[in-house]
Amino acid sequence: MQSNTFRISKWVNHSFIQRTLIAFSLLILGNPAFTQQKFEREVRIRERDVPESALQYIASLKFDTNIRWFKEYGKDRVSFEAKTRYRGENYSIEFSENGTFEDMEIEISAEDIPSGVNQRIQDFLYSEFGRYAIEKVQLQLSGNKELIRDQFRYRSDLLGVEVHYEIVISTRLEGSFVMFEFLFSETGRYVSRARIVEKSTDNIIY
Amino acid sequence: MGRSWLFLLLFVLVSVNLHARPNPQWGILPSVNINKRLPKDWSVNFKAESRQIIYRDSFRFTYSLTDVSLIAATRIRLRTTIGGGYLARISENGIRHRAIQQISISRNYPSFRLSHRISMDQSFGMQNPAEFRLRYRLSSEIPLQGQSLDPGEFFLKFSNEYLNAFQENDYDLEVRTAAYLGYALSPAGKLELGLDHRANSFISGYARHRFWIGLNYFYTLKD
Repeated sequence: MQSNTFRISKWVNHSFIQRTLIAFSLLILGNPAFTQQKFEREVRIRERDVPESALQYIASLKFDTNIRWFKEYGKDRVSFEAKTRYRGENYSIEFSENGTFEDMEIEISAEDIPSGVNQRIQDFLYSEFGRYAIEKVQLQLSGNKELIRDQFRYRSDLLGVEVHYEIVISTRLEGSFVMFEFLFSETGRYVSRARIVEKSTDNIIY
Repeated sequence: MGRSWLFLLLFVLVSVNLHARPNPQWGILPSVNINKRLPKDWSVNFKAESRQIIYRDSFRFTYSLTDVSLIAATRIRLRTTIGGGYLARISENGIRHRAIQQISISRNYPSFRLSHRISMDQSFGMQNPAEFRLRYRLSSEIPLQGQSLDPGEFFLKFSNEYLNAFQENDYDLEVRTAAYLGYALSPAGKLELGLDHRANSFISGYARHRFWIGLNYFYTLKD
């Protein structure tokens, strides 16, 4: 209660311009429609164009499937990504521009998320949007790359590995369908969101 | 490897067809397609498409007709769109009117996109009997440089369509197969060049084959 009183008194002491700016910021940031936009461009590349350290790491995972390499151009960064389908699961392993391991993503279904975590995530999404549909879920592993490799090869526990869930949802905002990519922590805590910019499909519809 | 097989299959199919049919008709089919997105997931699509015949028994350039259409559509699910509109077929004989209703469902896969379209149309006018058609088309867009299409990238587009046409007591089936090479000029603009093969009349008689060299321009106007 004391802290609330303190916050209110601070609020009252702000100038009109400051209050307006803060109120505007809260309004904007609190609006689920206002988020960072996810807009990436990726280009298929040959193995010879991939940094050596990234190639070595992928080789150590001993996939016996075809690996497709992509160079991904984000808003302010470039990365490399290896994609494959192994034992019925889609894998995506991302590296920085110089070949440093960043994360491994494995496509899973929402039911594969531990039930308590899944419930927390769904409660959050429900509180934000009410009705929504889950389009895609990925288990994201980052941190110690050797531990992640061992987890992958021996299916060992995820101890010492940073776990996140990347979830793409579709929902309706102001009468229009939109998609968001959310990132949740291992415990189901909200981390970030980005609105997905949809690409035109007119040429295969008309 | 998969794409190479697809090209080979297409080449074989086109080659076999070319040898199998006598005197197919050839023409060019340029089109302009403008899409305008509206609030609350509505959109309108304007299309103008012109037909010029360049070969029918002999080489001779002949203007055939122009189609102008306007379709209003709305999304009922994330990737499901329903729409309806009007098409005017303008030729030297006059104007034939067509009402169109359609539903399209698209899906994104890791390396390509697919779209199913079911549509109905009813054509009237120019003293011809009314014609009713029920159509199904499967289209795919395959980016050549990444997993999804970005500006400055090439793509392939394949489509296969089946048109059931009813006119008085007659029924005909037309099968259309098209392959295009496209280029994304910008996030809003795409250009496609390719071949569109259409075969009909093969149920009741001698098959009629037409090949159209298609040049399509698509542009989406900003919200």
